[in-house]
Amino acid sequence: MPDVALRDIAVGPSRHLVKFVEADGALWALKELPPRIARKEYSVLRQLEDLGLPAVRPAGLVLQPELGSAILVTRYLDGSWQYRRLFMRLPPNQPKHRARLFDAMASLLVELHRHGVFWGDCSLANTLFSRDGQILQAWLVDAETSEVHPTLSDGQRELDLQILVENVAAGMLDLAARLNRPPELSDMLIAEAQDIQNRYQQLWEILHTEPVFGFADRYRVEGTIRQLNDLGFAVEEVSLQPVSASPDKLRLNVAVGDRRYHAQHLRDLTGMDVGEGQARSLLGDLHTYQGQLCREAGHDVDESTAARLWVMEVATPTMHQAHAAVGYTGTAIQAYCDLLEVRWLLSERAGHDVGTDRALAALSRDVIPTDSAAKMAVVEIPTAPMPAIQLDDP
Amino acid sequence: MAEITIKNVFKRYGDGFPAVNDVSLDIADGEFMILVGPSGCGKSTLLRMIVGLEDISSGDMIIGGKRVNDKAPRDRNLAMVFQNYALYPHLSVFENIAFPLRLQGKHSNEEIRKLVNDAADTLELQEHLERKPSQLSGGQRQRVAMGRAIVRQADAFLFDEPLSNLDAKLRGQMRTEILRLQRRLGVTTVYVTHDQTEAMTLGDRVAVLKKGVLQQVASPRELYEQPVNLFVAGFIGSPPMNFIPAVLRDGRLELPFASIPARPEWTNVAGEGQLLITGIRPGSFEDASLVDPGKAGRGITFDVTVDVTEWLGNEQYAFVPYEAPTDIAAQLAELAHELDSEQMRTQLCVSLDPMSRVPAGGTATLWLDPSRIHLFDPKSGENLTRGSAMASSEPVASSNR
Repeated sequence: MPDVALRDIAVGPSRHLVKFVEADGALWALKELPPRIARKEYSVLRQLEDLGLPAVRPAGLVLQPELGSAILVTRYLDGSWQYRRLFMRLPPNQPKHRARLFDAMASLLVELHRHGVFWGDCSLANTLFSRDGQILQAWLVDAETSEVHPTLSDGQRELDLQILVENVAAGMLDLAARLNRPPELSDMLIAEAQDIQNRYQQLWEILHTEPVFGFADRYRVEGTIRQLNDLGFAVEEVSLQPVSASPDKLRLNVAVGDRRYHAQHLRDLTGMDVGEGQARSLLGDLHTYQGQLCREAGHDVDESTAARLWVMEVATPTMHQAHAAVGYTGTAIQAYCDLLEVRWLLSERAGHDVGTDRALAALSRDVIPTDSAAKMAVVEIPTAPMPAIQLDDP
Repeated sequence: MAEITIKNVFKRYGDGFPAVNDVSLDIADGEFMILVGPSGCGKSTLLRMIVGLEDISSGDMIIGGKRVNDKAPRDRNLAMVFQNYALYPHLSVFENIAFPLRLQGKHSNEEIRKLVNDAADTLELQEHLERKPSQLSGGQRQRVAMGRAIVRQADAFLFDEPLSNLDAKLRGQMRTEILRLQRRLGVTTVYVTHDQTEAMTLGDRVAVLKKGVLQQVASPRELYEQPVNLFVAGFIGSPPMNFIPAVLRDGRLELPFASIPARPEWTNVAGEGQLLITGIRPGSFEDASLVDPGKAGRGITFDVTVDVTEWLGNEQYAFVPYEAPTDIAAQLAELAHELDSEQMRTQLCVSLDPMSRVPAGGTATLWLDPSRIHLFDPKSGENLTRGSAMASSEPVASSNR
């Protein structure tokens, strides 16, 4: 291995020590572990990459037979952070932010499970988060205990979910203790962690339901597809099978694709490559602009024309202003999404449209609602150099 | 507490491949049962069927008298131990143990305190309950993780290769802790491992699996001394049993390096001129010059050329290459493959007293007690002398029983 500088980066408690290395202009995470486990984890991460699932990307495996160990090398996930970083930078007790975090974890577990991946040790410490519009994207980081199967049994899913709930509850209780939060918070944290099961269950059912309806009610196909699209899922294939018991009934079977429905649509329209959550915010802005164009022109303006104008007239210039307003932390796209959210929240509070300038001013002075998604930009502020780093500091 | 009965259980995957093939096993209440075998033998699949993680293709899974085939994992009241043994640094040891109970929401604070205190008594953690995990020793931290399983009051503990990703030192410590805990609580325990040392040291009984088929279920000592076939004989014991081709001819068993007068238990099961595989544990040999005179007469002596020796302080091994007929050599290579073993099968491994001065590259006179020879059918692999080869005084890998 070349002689490179090791960097200390805050990570959670781990079975095996993770070190970070800066080389070739990129950050790499190195984890030393027994060769058998390293090979297994590398292979699982490769499979997750092939499946396009949100997980850290494996870069290589170094076998050191003379030391009886191996080093798993993964790429550092740009723009990602640990849950502790968020909560240590926010005022106490932030249920809305916690809800965003838990939504992201439930979504991640559903994504893994519907692709046959059993995580085995899903916890806050084994997850990284990144901002994606008004939602969070969760990424699997540690696959030491993971297995990829053709499909998962209900038992496997249930156990994985149970592990997640326990680990999340304990992780939140631990953080609350670390931050000297009052013990009364515990019950709320436990209840919230348990509610992840419901979030998971709802999403799983929407993705796997096979509704049966009469031949005359075929319009319900459209409703099902729209519900999936609204949640960001592309629909790859729809089939209607007659139910053998009653020939006038049909069973709907939907093959659900990637969760990039809005992202794909925005890319088709504008060439912008953004996260699904960001695309949802941006498409909302685009459609408002399209409505405005239609009113001004007195006739219909189609979506692709509006999109071209929106990029030039609205999105590009405002995006730069927004990025400047947040001191160029994070990405320009995310800063723009934050601006859109703040403008909406302030307008709603004021009862009328407050306009972009006021929203920009609020953003730059950081006088935005504490529970807004935009407030999560606190995670983007770089950590100042410290003489020594404690294991659990951000 | 509960007994676990596995009746004619199959696990077939989509392609019809039986990962678990007609396994029947009775695990008594309070018993420590090990499932062992090389990778792909079906041991983890079987454990997952007990827990409810894998659907059972056919057969019955009965826990505490109730058929659980269709029960969800959480309704089986089993605890997977060390499934997640992360300790939370800012929570007290008490809270680290208590939080699964808080999550269940079934217990009052008073009940939780009692359950955690009882677990702490069992684990000798009573004085440490108010401390943080960082103030504990390595062994104590592992016991905290076990405490989490204990307070659930599960009917059985299940372990799925819990030590496989730990370093050797920690593995040894944990093994002892697990054994101590199981003995103290007397909870039915099923433990999956690919490591025969773990199997031998922990289990009341050990179930050896190969390609989904149960080969033998027995105490570690019985597996070691009376293996049913070549596979079990080769899997159990370290260094492994030597497999040597031999022929019964003119009232003698002809080995590549010795000729031994045939014993009745051999001639009873094998015919004149029949090609056999003999199984001899490395420890059945001795340096002839160091044999206790009281037993020297029981054995035979013969000369071999020693290739290399390994002296380890408390033990010593000598390696003696020999020629094997090609068909037997091929079969032994196949067996080594099935066993996931890299052992070269056409050399004899002999365990010698560390005092022995047998020279590498030179000639040594070895002593062997023929009553400890197993004869295997080369085709079926069956142990033809099972029940007759002497149960010897040779110690089984250290056992706390």
